[in-house]
Amino acid sequence: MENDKLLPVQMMPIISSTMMSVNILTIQRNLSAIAKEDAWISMILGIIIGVFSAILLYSLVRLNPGLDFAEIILHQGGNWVGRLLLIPITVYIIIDIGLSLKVFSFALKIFLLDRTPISVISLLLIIVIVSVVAKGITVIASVTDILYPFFLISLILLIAMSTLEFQKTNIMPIIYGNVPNILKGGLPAYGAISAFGSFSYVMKYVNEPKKYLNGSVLDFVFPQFYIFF
Amino acid sequence: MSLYRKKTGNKKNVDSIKSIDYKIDTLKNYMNNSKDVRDRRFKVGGKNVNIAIIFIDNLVDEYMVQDHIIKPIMSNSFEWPLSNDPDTILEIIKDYMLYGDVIEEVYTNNEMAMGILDGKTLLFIEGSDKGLIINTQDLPKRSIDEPQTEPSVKGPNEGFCESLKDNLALIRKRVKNPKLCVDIINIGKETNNNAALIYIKGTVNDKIAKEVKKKLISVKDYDIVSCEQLLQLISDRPFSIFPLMHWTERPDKAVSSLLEGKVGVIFDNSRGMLLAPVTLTCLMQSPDDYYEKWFIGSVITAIRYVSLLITVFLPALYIAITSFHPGMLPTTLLISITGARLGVPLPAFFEALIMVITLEILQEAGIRLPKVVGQTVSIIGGLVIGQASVQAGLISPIMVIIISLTAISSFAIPNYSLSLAARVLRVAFMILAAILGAFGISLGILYLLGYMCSLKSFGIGFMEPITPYRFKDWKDSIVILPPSVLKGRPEYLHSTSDTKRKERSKNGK
Repeated sequence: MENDKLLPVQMMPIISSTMMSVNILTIQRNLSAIAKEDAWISMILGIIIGVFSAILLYSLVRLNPGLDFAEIILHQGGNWVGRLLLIPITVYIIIDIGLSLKVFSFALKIFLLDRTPISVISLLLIIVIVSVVAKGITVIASVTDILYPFFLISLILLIAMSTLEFQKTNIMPIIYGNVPNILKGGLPAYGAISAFGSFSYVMKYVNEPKKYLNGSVLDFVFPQFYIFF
Repeated sequence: MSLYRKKTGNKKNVDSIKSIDYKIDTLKNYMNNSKDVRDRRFKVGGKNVNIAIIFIDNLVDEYMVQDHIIKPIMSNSFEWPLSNDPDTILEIIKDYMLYGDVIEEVYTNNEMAMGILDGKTLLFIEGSDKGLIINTQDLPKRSIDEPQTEPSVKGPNEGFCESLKDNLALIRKRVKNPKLCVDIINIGKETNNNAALIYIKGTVNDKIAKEVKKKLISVKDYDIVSCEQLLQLISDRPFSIFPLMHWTERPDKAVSSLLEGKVGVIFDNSRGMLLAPVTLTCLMQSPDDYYEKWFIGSVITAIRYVSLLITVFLPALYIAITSFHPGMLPTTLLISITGARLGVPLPAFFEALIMVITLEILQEAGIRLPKVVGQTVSIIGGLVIGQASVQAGLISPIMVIIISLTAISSFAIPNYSLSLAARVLRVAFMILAAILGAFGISLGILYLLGYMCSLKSFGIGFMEPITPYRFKDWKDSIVILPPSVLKGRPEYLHSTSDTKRKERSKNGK
């Protein structure tokens, strides 16, 4: 009966899913390539930056109730400046989504469909995702709601199984002449969790935004916990 | 006698030049001179007052016509008033002589014909322009029987039948509540059947009740013969593969839905009741869940969900794994499957397709044939053909196991329409698995979820309360908790009244 409105409880699956997304396939390799055995410190650094960004974004959304991030920029920056500011953000989002699609298609090709061209896999993914997204925000949220528990269970199992492989020597020595690399690694780590910004787009569809904003900390903390492990 | 005089003291002078014969002829002509339209003329009152009754053979109770209409008029006619005014005489007949429970005055040919067609008897008196329609209805009908598609182990065995009155009585008998509202809406230009809209005032979400009523009124010109056709006409998405109203033939299920705040529709001559709004969780529930201990009910409900998944996905998964991803299987299982498939000339997809089509044919034949023969056909089909095709090397034994498991699982789905939808989806997923393997199944699942989440039944999401997460409602949908815990009505229905019972006072009374 509440058409095109989301319940506050639906925000967590959306934010968690966008934060973890395809990055979970690549972040470990990217970070260890840069920061080597101190990749985990880079991740913590990325999370710290992420927390500050989230607080800023959170305050921005609270100050502009009923508007999404793009509308806030247009509202604050005016028609021309706002649009200019939006261009790089739009380009970034498109590139990010495109890269995620490519990475995911590659993963599918390697593990499931080794003889199918990657273009076919990507095209099919685009068609199905667009057909679902076109049905509206409530459908996106509902699909995420249903898939989220499966996603979470798989992830927990994965973390549990990977603990068997854990060896302390792999992260030793800690910060031994590696500070610049740790700092460098903070950026991709931050990039991996930067999708928390999705809440600034979805927020305006929540039927009780104030109720959600008061309890939104968990939505931010949980995914970071998973990504870290 | 004095009472009659008092009545006739206020008479009106209505002159009619039309004789009773003329009126009967006109009416019969209006009804195309059907031979089953019968009339009986008689003279009464010692004054040569001509009276006629008209009815349709087999639609009326002949004893009622004799005992409740003809007999009282003839036996009391010598005590008639002095008045000669036909309208006054008709009034006296109506008020003092007829025993009928429902008597209406009618004036036009159409009103008269509709009354007669409804199984009532029309009474004319010479000189009066109006007639009386007296309830003598005795329509042919089946007795109340066991529900055929929704049997229950412990629950009541009364099922809806094809009589709207009886069906309403089955509801009324369970809900002795003055708030139970019944609206009758006439549907069909030619068929003129009635649909009854039922809900409990103060419990139902008024928006839903209004919406259903609006939809019923919007289709009142359609000539339909069953509530299943009505369902398709008033559904929000007529092309939806899933049912967007819940058809049930169990009065207990209908009543519990009404108590939750849903709206019911009963249609003339249909064995069942439509309930709106519907959700996937409703379609997966069976009354037996509530006739057992809560944990048994919960486990059975969980098994049903597993059955639904097996019905839709098992053949597709088998095709995907054997054709695309054999590496996903443990080596021993892989060797076993490969060994069983040795010598089978068809790819797994065609093998599965042949078996699924055979199964569908068997199921269809089993429904169409008489019960005893139907069972025989199923046994012959299931055992003989299955065994023979394996021995002939056309089908692998594992495929027979897969398809048998799929078929048995489909019977565990309590709603027949949902079971049919699952059977169609099964084939779709098999095709996807044959083309793209597990990736195809995943894409199919994603699309299906999007589709299911976009469905709405009278404004309520088909996937409620699974999504959005309404954890409060899960205790009466995903699991079944004890009745003492289920005091609230489903949140997703936005019922007017929140609780099923009054809150207990502090001293527990």
